[in-house]
Amino acid sequence: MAGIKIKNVSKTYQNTNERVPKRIHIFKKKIKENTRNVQVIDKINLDIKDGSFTVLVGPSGCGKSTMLRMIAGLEDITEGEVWVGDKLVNHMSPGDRNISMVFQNYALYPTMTVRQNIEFSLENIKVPKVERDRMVKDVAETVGLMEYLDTKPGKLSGGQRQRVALARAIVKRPDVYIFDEPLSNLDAKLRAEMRTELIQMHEKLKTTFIYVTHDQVEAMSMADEIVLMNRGEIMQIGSPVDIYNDPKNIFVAQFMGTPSMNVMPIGELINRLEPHFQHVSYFGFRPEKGILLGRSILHSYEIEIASKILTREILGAETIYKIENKYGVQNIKTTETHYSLGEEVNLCLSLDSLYYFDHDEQRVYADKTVLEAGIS
Amino acid sequence: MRKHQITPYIFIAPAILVFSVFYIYPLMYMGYLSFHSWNFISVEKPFVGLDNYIRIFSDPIFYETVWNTLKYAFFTVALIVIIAIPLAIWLNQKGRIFTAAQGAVFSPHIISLVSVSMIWMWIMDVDYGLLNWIVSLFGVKSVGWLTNPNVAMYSLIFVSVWKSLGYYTLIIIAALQSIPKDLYEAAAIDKASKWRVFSKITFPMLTPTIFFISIIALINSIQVFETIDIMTGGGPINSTTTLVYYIYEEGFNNFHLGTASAAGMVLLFILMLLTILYFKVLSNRVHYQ
Repeated sequence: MAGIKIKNVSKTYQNTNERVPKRIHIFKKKIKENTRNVQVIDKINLDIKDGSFTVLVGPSGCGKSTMLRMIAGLEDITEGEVWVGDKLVNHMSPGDRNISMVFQNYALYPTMTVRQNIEFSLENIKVPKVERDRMVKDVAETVGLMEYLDTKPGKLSGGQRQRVALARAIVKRPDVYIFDEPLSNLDAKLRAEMRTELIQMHEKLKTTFIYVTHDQVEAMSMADEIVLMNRGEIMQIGSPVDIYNDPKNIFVAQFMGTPSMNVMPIGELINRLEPHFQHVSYFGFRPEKGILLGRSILHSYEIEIASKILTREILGAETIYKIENKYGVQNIKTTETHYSLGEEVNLCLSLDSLYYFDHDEQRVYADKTVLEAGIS
Repeated sequence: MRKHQITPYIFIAPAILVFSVFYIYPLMYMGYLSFHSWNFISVEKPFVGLDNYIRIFSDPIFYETVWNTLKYAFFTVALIVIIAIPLAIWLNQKGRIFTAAQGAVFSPHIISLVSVSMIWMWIMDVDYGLLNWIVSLFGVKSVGWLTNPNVAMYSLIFVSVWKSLGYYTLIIIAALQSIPKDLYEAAAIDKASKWRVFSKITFPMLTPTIFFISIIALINSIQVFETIDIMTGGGPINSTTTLVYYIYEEGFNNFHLGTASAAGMVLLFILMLLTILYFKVLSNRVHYQ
């Protein structure tokens, strides 16, 4: 078991035309003058606690996979230090770092049977046959693969392959487990099942898990700690609840949650903020915090905005309305299904559900008392 | 209704026609000729039964020919497979040098076999050849590369391997590049040694390709003709006469079309037998994804 410390780590791909992996093409953050070097990770500091389930999440090309691959040793570290436990691993080969990795495409050895796949790493470090058989049997029972031990991966379903990949990772008893979008190739139902299983697995193994995904649902549901990345930088680190309820900037606010947070220019609402909050440029609220009420009904919410229903998506338990008003277009998530297209409604909000952001899209913490109640 | 039944046949008719005229008919005609006596000119083609077969099977040179063919095929295929795999692995690296080397290795394939034969004839000449000059630097006496009956066959095998190696190497390079990179990454994390990576991942992933190139190389080498015709003419003392060359000599020099056709049938039979054997023996060991 080991924690991981990442100190001032940067990653630069040199001579971009040739070497930048395709998946990073979207992200060309810093193209230095006169060179074709591209920096994909920019001086990141990160402390991953021993035994934690840490999820690196962010949009495609944000550098999260590169980060993960640097920890695994599959990618060189341009600058900075990576520590696994008390070992500086910068120049250690992947095999010496005592980590296990589960790949997006599972990367099972197709010419070997399930058993051979699982015991490959044990053979490499010359574990005696008897010991090996016992370990393979144990782990195969854990993940429920006993009857497939002599089958080749090609004959297995996606979920079973995923289990083989897990078994292969577990059997090494590593200090750190690394997962690179392991569920993205599974269908929705299986993905939900595997999520639960991974959480249980972490509970049982109590080892450090580092998990990369672009899926915010996976991040929210599995992580102890979420590391939200964008353009090679860490946007925010925190527990799922913290990240959701207390986003530090517009990017974090909008990345987490479906539909994402409604963020609009502050507009004439600025007049109702106290003078020392004049630098606020945007305000936002979560779709589920907006309440839709008929025009004619009398009520006393702190903010009421005359709006019109644009679209309605009924998802079963809840309904998502797209509404339009003088601040723009917003999504509202509610259990009410009876509003029809084009209907005039009032969008009602309470003050404590509002978030404020400055010109640089950073969060501004404003007390709710700065606003007076009234119809806007 | 009937129209629909005919339409598909009309579509495949041109292909069938070409195939029949250039493959089926000559094959049938060869079978027919192998039971007849004909010298290319005479109007009559008297039926001689199994005479042609009896004649070739009682000819000691014919056995020597079959033996030469098998020897030639075996060494050519074995050398190609043994050399092409490491060569492909070495060439499958990034960098200008390797790209250039790939081009260099492949280039013999695009040169006409006749030119290749002429060049190597000059290089292997006993008196003024480049090879003997190099050998002489090491104090070795001149070798009759193409004139010594014990050496000539191996010289031909060498030329044929040299000529076709690049092509087969290129196919293996393509196969190497289609092996997913994450398998190697997984192996690195699993702490596999280089040899284990090769023997447990790379090689098994290459088996379908190796199977393919060995069967193609086998068929090609059994049908060898140009190099032999140009470089040795089947000599010295029939030491490089292979089946196809024997057929050519019988048919077009000796005008024994009947025996030539009989030998052709034997060649066909050998190729069929080898191919079947190959599939039976090797296909179990080949891993298809």
